[in-house]
Amino acid sequence: MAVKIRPITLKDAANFRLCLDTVAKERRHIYDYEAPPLPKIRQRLRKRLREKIPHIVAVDGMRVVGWAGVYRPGVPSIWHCGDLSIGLLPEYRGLGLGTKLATRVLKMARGKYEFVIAAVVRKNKPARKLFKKMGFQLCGTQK
Amino acid sequence: MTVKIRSATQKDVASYRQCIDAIAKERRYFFEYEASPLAEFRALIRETLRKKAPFLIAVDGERVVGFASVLLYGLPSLSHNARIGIGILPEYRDIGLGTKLTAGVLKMARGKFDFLFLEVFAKNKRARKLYMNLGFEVCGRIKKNVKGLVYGYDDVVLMQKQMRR
Repeated sequence: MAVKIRPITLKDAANFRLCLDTVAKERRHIYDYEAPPLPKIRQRLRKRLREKIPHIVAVDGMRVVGWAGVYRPGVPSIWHCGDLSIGLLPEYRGLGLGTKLATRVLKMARGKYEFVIAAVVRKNKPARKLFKKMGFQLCGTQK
Repeated sequence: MTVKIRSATQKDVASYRQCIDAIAKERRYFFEYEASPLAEFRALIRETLRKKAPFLIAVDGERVVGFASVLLYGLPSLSHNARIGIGILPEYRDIGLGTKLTAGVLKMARGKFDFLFLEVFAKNKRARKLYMNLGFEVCGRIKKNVKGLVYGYDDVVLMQKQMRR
């Protein structure tokens, strides 16, 4: 499989949602139990594209197999701290794609944010290892 | 001044918003620089009241001078937890209102959640002390997470309290 990493476009909305939904339904890695409905995804995506938010996807053909984004929080007083989000479909893990996605999206985030914050579930060891490698420091644990 | 603590109703919304707006504009304690527009604010409060989230206000006459509120998370995977937020107008600080309000909502929240979380700015010693006294413990600190305060940046301290075993 030849996987390409590129910026997300509005055309990816449905495929991005499928990818997000698959990872959510594993109930292992992300807060959502399922992806939000497509119109909501589309609306968020439109806003992110307009605001030039760093947001990329890994695609195998047309299929979105992973994503990474550094999103802007809701309140202006914390706009200088971006929220990192990253995910990969199960069959595309362990190939170094996460590192590639994170490196690329963090590079895009440079100059846009002063800090990047990542929330990760404690048992998600691969992600914690990845974030550590990218220079993240642990600043707290919520039980 | 005689201050009463009671549950909020839809009628308190405008006064409650003014209270939040005044504290936000101090640029010392809240993430918001100002309260959201009244219509949006009204919808938010309606939701809080409908979901019966623990919520108390302190009133001097009809004027809202302080509040403590439990904010629910939107996601089902976090619904066993909630966040708490409080605020008191400057002239009503240091007379024990914060403790009364917070202890009140903690009592209302008992049995409803596993954990309560909160975020407090590092320089807000008064609030941190209050939360410590009520059984919250520090679980993290995010460096320079907030900016635009009267004194510039501040760290955000995360605290949590276990509500059932």
